[in-house]
Amino acid sequence: MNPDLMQAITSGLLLGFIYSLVAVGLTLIWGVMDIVNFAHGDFLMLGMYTSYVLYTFFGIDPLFSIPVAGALLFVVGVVTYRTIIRRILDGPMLIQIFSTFGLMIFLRYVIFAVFKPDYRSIQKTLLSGTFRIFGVYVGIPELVAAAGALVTTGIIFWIMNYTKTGAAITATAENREAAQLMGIDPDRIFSLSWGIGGAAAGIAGALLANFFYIFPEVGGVFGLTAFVVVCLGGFGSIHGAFVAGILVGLVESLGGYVAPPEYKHIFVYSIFIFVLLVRPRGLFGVT
Amino acid sequence: MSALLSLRGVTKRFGGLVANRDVTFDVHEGEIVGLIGPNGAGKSTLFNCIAGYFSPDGGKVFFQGRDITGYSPEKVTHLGIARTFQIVKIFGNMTVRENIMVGAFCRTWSVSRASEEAEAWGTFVGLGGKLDYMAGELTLAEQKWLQLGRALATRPRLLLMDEVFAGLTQAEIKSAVNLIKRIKEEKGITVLIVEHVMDVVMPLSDRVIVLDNGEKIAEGKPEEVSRDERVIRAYLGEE
Amino acid sequence: MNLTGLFLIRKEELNLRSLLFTLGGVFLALAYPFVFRKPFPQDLLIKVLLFAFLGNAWNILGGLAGQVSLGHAMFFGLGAYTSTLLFLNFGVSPWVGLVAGAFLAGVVSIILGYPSFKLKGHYFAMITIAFGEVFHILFRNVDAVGGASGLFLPILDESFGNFYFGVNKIPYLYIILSFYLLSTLTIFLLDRSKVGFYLRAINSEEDAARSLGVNSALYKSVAMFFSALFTAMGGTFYAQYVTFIDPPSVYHLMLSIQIVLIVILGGVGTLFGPLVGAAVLIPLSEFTRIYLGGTGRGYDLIIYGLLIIVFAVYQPTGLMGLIRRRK
Repeated sequence: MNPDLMQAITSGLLLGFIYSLVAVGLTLIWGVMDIVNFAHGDFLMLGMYTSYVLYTFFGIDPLFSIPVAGALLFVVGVVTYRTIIRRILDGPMLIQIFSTFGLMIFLRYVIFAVFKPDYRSIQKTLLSGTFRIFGVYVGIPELVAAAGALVTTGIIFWIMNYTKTGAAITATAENREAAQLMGIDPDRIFSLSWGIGGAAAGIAGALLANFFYIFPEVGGVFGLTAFVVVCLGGFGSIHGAFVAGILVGLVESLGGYVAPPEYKHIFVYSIFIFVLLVRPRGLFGVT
Repeated sequence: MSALLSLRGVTKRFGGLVANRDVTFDVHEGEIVGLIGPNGAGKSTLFNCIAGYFSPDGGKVFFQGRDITGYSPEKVTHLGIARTFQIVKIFGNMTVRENIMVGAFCRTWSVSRASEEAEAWGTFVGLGGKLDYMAGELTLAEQKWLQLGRALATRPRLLLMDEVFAGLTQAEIKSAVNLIKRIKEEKGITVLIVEHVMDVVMPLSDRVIVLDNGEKIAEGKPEEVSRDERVIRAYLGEE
Repeated sequence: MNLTGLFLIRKEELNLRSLLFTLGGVFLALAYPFVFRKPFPQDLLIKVLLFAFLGNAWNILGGLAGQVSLGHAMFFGLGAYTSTLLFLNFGVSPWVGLVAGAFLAGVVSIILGYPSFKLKGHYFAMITIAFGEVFHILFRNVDAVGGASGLFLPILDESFGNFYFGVNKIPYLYIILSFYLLSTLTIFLLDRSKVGFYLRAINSEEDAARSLGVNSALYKSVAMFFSALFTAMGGTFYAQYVTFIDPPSVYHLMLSIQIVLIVILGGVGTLFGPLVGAAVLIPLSEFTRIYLGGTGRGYDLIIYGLLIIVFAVYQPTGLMGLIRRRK
């Protein structure tokens, strides 16, 4: 096979696992409470900057920042829920959209003001390096990030399907009133969903920080891509988001292979538009 | 007497579930027809198939001899079928007058004409004194009258009413019954009422159609139908 | 809670006093450049009116029909690029370009809008983001339309016919003022017509509206058409005023958001909300840029973000809601 094509497929796959993780966090919140978190990409951005700060000021390797970013963004998610989301839960749709939009702009430009718009990257980490296999170059940071994303997605999947907490979240998503009658406190579940959703984005950001450029607006691209993934996978579906994330990673990478790379996002958005218009419940969603 | 509305073998499925199977009946000009049946009998689905909200998977719906199967709700309304909703759907942030005007605009572009119509129909349904109230401030019963007034303002020949009595007090049910009789007698509009509770519809209807498990099990004069064994069984089975 | 549904202007506000206020406001705007002769304050009012105009345009679709578009920059960009490209390539007068751009945007809006209108709520908002981004990427990468480096308008004779007045800002001010007034009058008339009733009905309860004979897809398209048309006019005005356009300045998602933000801040579905919102937000952003310094440090956007959150949570009816409540 053409080595360039192999290379494109490999990078697409690796990136796809990260997309899956980001999208799982987004779809979780969406499915549970029908709120779209437009700041989700910026949660990821905060995760990246967590690694950056720990590395630059404390010399901590980004590998070890991953749990820190996860924990921090868990808190950010919970705080977001408690200060903003809880108050607009029953509000009009426009207000729901704009509250998280406001948060997105706020977070993005606070970071912008503090760290300046510069593109930064973390050089020389424990994971630095590449190896070659079957004529394809694979970056170790990319590989580890993909593996980390896979593991984290797996953990969330496990929580959702095999723990009591996960059952409570699923029950609340399906029927808030019924869950309440069963003694589940929806407020706690919502809070927790925001925490898990935030943590997923934070961990994804910290994983990305090992090799990706870090800049204040980085969340925009990842946020939009996460929407595409969620939409493709079916709103609220975790395994759907997982599969769709890989698909979108591949589409993006192969799109950059068959057409000039500047156009690769057009492929992604086109899928998005197509799915919304033709099959709005996504590939795996149930009506 | 030719049929105003005719259903011929209407079938509607949701996935593997059959909501309506091969339903056939006619509604004639000037009648009040009750479409009754226990919960889950498929009344609402059938209603939505007539009103254009669902497209039947099989069979045909004719209105004034014209095949309207699969027509959109707005087109159905333009042809002369109006409906009310079981769960009231009023325009809460508009006044009573404005709500009815939206209906009246079905037949006119003139704002002043629509406003006059709104006053007339508002008065007809008993909301003459509340024309400039916000619709959201009305009681449930008043919102139901508003839905009726709004639907009537589209000048239908056939009025479909979905569970209009649900949630009303005895006194309110009485005035609803009076109103429906006046719609038929004074305005000459044919009425098809979907209703779960038999005792209100029976005395009101000229004819009754009974659905059970998605199929028509009986049709006829109320007193005949209420003696029909299958109907009794269907309703008893529910309890 | 529904934010709209009332007339954009309530009946009790339709009186001689409001008329005098409006005429007084127009007079003040006309006199403004003779009181404030420096370029900065004149530029400020031009921007306020431009965004009030864009807010009005958005309000037709978002406020009246209740369809939240987050992709209006694509219509703005279409207007800006159509007139500029027509002029640069064929020497077509920008006034003709204005009409052509507006019409093109209107047609594009219907082509994209019609299939999208079946999407509800978030989904409609998101598909408009995707459309906007596709336009952004295309214009950034197609060299025939200037690509990432954008397009410059050459210096021309200063005349109304050329839609170019050099450093003299007064004609620009009067042009955008008349655009704004035109859009306001259009909305006012639209609002009180059958179309306005239908749009508010769709906004409030779409199923019920359809049961009353409202062809919701058709009427949403009408709203979208006018909305896109006015937005594109704003784009042409911007191109003529700034004489330079590139994808980040006319197709950016942030522009779409800024338009909506102004409407939300002022009050969704109110006739003067966009003006109030623009009058607060534009100076705020210009002054933070000046006083907090640092071009492109984004301080103004931090305040934007905070304002959106605060208004979304505590004052969803916007500043107009505050003004109305005090009465």
